[in-house]
Amino acid sequence: MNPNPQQEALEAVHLARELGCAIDRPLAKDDKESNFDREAWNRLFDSEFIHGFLPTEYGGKAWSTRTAVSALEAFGESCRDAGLCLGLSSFVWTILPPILSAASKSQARTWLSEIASKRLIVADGVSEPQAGSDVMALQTKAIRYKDGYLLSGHKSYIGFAPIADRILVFARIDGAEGPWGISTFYIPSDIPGIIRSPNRDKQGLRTLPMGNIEFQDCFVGEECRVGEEGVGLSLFNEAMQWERSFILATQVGAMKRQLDQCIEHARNREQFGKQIKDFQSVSNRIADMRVRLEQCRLMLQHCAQLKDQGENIALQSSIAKLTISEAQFASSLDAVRIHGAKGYLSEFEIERDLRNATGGLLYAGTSDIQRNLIAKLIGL
Amino acid sequence: MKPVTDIRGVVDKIVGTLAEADSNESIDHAENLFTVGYLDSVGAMQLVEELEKSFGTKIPAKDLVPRNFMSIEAMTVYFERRRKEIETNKP
Repeated sequence: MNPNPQQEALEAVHLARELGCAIDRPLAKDDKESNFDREAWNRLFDSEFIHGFLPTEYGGKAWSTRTAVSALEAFGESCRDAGLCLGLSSFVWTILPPILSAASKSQARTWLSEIASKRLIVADGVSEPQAGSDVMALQTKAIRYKDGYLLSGHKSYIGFAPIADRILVFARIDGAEGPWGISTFYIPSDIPGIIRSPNRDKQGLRTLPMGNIEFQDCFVGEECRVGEEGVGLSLFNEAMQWERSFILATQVGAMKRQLDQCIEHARNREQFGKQIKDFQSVSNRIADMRVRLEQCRLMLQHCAQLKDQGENIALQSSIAKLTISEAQFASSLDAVRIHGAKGYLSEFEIERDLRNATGGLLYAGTSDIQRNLIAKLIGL
Repeated sequence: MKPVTDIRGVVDKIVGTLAEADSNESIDHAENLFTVGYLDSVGAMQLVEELEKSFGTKIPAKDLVPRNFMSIEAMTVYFERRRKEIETNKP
């Protein structure tokens, strides 16, 4: 643990802000054309921002969870590319935890040093046509074969699928039933038997490609398995706690940027001879946006503090995901209302936040799923 | 880890509550809880949380594998082993 956490957080936020500003650019065209900015992705590594999330034994800076969350919030405030932000967050909260929890030291050293040096993109291969949050329903199979496994099955709605260099695959070992039958594999994306779809067009988060991955008797060696057979559900649940708590940290930063933009507009725009901030309907809406921002920040920091204390935060993570995603959606709709026609036109880059926020209601478990989990976890 | 004397009894009680087993029906300690359908994936998550609370110890994700958690018997053996490990490693 860093002996000076405040200094660590200050430096991390400064780095995040500088990097976010350097990467930031007008996005209307790339959003329309669904272009992923690989150059910006590479800069996450070249600037050693990514290293903040890695343990020191693997060449990282081992930021605390609180620092990591503050840094991501600052990055999301300064960089408007929500697709890039989500790609970065997915790496930090869904790819790193299973590797750090269950891979052997030797596997982790090899994989993480390669990711950092080659600036690799890793896709999280969980979702299937019939299995998302209900991971027990997944049907991709791993059949024992020679000194490894043959993977077969179909993954869908996978972020980075069309361009990933590596895939973290969750599959059921043939014959193993129930939750402990799921295992995890870290594999290259170009081995024989892997077929990937082109990018699938979507409403928001368009700068992050998404697609399907099909495995057709794809052979993977035993050395690709992360942890022992059957650990997959636990790795999924653990990653879900991280993901649900913090996947939207960058978007809390985006909410701050959005709020500032709305305040400026409300001060400058005049109607009926006065600034629109003097209409209470507008000022109340902006006050609500500020309240939501405060709630989201507090929730992020609360979850981060509990995680740093080693607590199990299954319940809090669902509450955080539900609260932040719904808050971002509500504030993004408010931002469009405040800006009027300007808010509705793509060229002003205001309506994009609303489209992106819709995605937040769905990934990492929909709001309905979060409510179900919360109800179950409080004993209903 | 808390000094729990009746590990099997604690595990039995937690599983019984989560599986909503009838009070007259006892779950066979060797029975695979998941293939029989007593618990689903959320149930597995709750089971881990309840066990951690009752035994006062965090269960590492790498330990959450079939051989340790598929039955009441397997969990009892796991926590007995873990208690011995913790006692052995005490300064």
